[in-house]
Amino acid sequence: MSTSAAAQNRTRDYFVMLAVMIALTVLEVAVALVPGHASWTVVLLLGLALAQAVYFALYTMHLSRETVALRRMAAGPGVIAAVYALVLVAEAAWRHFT
Amino acid sequence: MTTAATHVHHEVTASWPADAQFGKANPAKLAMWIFLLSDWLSFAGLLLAYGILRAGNAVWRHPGEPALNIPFTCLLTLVLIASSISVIVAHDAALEGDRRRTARWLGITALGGVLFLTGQYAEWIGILHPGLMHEGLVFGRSAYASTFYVITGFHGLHVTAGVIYLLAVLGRTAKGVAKAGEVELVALFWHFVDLVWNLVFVLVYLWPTGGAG
Repeated sequence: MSTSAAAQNRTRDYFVMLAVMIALTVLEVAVALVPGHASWTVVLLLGLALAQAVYFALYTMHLSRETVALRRMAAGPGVIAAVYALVLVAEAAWRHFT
Repeated sequence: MTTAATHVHHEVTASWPADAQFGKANPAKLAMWIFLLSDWLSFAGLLLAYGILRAGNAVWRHPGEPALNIPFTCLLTLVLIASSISVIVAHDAALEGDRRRTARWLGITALGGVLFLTGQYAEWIGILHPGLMHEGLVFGRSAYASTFYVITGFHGLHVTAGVIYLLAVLGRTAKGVAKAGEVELVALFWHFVDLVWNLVFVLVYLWPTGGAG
């Protein structure tokens, strides 16, 4: 691939990244502003935020191009935080229903 | 080499197969990732504490406390997102050895950070209009106020550190002593600051208040 073609591809990649992140942000705001059931809104917002975080890590932080070892290392604390959150949600649900 | 030595060498190779990824990680990048992951756990702790407080309070925003300005903060979020792209362009320019372009895009990224911090100052204290502090959102008066200031303040400190770091690398680039690896490290830090902000924006600003207050 020639240098100018590679540069064109990179420019296209930047615009795609920018467009995806703007679209996800606008979608999050739309979900928050449209009236609906609060619990479902929160679940949807968390899902979108997670998708955006994963996209950020993989493409803007270039984790997708890194070694498997580094990707696993980066995923570790995310999984730990998710486990903490699940334990806390389960504990709150247990207190609520007993 | 003796037969025994050859045998030992052969055994070691057989029991410890070559790792295709061994030695490929850049030590500085690895160190930055370890720092970012530990920093992420600090943010995760704050956001989990926020979630617990938020879920445990039937009324989150008390009467007299102002609502957060979502459209304005959405604009600040878009500024940070754009600055994340500009730092990628700076890194690409550094890889190509184009010093002027690297410096220019690092400067644009730092400007994005300064704009964000100015916006946060306007939101907290006020520039053209009174800020949240003057509208009744007082630190320590409610969980809503305290978690807002602690989380956005902690993130704001990261943005400040990021701007200083960007300017330091910009200075080294202008002098011609910075390597592309240094630009990559500052870019990683800046992306992390943006990534965390997106979570803060969703959890602190967009989580519906349920009509409380």
